[in-house]
Amino acid sequence: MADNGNHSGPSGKLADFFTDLGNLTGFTADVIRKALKKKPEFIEFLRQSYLAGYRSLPLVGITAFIMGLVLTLQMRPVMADLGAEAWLPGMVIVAIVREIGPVITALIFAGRVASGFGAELSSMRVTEQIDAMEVSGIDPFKYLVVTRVLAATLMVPVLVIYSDAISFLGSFLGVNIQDAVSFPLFLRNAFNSLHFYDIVPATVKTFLFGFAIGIISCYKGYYTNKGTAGVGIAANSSVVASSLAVFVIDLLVVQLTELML
Amino acid sequence: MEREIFTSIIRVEHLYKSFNGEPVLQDISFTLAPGENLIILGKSGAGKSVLLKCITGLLEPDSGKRVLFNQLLDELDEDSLNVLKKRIGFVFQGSALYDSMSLRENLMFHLNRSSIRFTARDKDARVEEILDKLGLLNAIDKMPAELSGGMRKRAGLARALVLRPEIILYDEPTTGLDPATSREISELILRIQRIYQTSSVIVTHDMSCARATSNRMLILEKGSFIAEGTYANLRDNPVKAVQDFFIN
Repeated sequence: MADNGNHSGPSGKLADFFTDLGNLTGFTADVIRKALKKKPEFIEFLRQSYLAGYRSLPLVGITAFIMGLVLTLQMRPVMADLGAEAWLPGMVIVAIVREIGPVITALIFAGRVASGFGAELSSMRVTEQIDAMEVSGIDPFKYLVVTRVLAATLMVPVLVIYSDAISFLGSFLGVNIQDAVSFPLFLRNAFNSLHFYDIVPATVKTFLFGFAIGIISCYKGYYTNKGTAGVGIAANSSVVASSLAVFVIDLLVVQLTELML
Repeated sequence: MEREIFTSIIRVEHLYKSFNGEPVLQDISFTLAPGENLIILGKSGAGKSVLLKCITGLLEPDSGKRVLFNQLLDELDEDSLNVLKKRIGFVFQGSALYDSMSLRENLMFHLNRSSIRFTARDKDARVEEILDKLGLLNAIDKMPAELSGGMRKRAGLARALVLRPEIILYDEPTTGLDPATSREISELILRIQRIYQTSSVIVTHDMSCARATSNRMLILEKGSFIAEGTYANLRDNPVKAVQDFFIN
């Protein structure tokens, strides 16, 4: 089992951080190794994808619609001052596709799904359900962790595409509050501003967001060690650490993209 | 499938385990013979549950030898260990039922991951047979949260039995139960042994359970065995630490 650290004082906290980082690296390697092993837990993977992906659709959809609408309404006065209102759809869409859509969706996913993964796995650990699998010759890591990490990795990109599409609708409504622009014209204006290099890095980073959220929340839940109090701690730290990871990955991908283009 | 013949199906030699430098098990050695009900009696914190977890590979001991079915646990790779584990049933103190699954699904989950291929009809028949024997057939589609304490214990036992193990390890099987239910569980342990020809290691601090179920008893005190014998032998043992169990 991973050493979760138990030190006090600033140097102790630092030691805990590096211990956690080391354990997390080993945990990630185990996930990859076991994901590549034969006999995947396909049905559990589908169930987790349904719970993490399909069940997130309403929340992601509502948030995305409001995001697209508000962004358009906020940008309109600035664009009007510059006499560039025709550029409004393109500007909003680029902002949504490149940055806002992936990051906001990943943060919503972290809040809704990472807390669930952390709480569920830690509760299973505390009530010895994970031990019950292990002692019966069932690999709990493969059944509980690998399926959840894969589901998160694949569901975040799907949710981001869905979120982007709904945001376009919100933005279209925002444009039409003061102007009368047809949907085909709106889309033409929007997609004229969108390039291949806007889409690829944005899509790649959504896989990384999902993978990081899955890994961090499962790690926090799987190795909880403080009884029932640990369930709350695992749920909370899963969201905090996953959200932070989303921003760090975003920063790194943006920097790498800048260097490569 | 014919069962192999062993002189001892569990053999533990000079086992040591500590947590953060604090010794929990010290020089533990014992054997379990086929068909035997071995009781490990000890107070809370004596190291009973840790010992069970070391036997099954849930915890790694600091040193010592664990031989199950003539196979040295430390020499087995992950896959072989998993195959061996399917020959052992473990009944947890808190039952450890999967709370997102119904009782039927709890048992099916283990059957579906067995190395033996069952037809859907065979699986249903086996689950229903075991639940019927344990008086849980009416609760087959209930969720663990809907079961009473005694039913949860029996459900935990049903799940341990579903793969027809040769050894069953019980971790405090009567803890938290009223005397009548506790007696019922003790009788069930004996009945299960008769029906399925299993061997058992039962760790408990409940003397009435120990008396009802034991062939042989070991007394664990501060991580070491201090006495061994039948219930009658130990009752007459003059050592104070042993007498304390009988007086209380």
